[in-house]
Amino acid sequence: MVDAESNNQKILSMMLFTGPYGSQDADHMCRIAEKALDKGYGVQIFLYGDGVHAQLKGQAPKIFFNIGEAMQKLVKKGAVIKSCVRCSKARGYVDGEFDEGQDRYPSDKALDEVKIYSLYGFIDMIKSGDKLITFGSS
Amino acid sequence: MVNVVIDISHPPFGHETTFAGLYIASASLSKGMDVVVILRGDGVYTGRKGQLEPMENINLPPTEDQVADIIELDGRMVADREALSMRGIDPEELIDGIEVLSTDQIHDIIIDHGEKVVAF
Repeated sequence: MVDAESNNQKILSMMLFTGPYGSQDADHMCRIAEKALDKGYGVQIFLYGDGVHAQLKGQAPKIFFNIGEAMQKLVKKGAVIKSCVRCSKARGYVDGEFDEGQDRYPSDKALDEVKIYSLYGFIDMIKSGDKLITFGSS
Repeated sequence: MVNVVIDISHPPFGHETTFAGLYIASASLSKGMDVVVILRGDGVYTGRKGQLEPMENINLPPTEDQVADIIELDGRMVADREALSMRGIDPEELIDGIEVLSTDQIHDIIIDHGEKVVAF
């Protein structure tokens, strides 16, 4: 969770439900997230459904905006990114049980910057966010 | 109290979408949030009772059970009367506890209750 209270920030919560490259949803989400960070918002993102494919390591699109790299950059700038464990398990990303120390489910295939988490990670983002934007779910 | 609207316009089977939306509704209720689920467009098919056991037939989770759970957890579930009418679904065919409202009334819910709207 973004620590909004200590920073007195507005929080933008986002959910991505489609994978990268098949549509521009992930692209738009990352660009809006970066702009929101630049404007001083705290940003928290949840990857859900096929959106969890955005966490794949080693993405190498020839011409498209690299979503993996964009998400790494967002985390570096302060964003929090989590992905749904049920959706990640179904798509082969999860390697074991929840790791309390790392505060995430382990995965060799997912970016280190993304925490694979229970759905309650998103519920907390809904609760704590001042704004909520969903991408690709309707 | 945080108010959440889950707006479902996809049919219950064929995509993961509706299952995913109802799953968020249940999780939000279990965290003490005030939840309204709107069934509109093809989403109204989700409200029909007497669906065949989908795990046995098409290997998808039963959304009918999810709807019943949400109502049992005091979630409010509403269906769009016009969407039902266009699809030839009688309100009597809906799972007990689903309210049938006009499109206009549903828009009021989105405006008045929808601090956070998650659309599926």
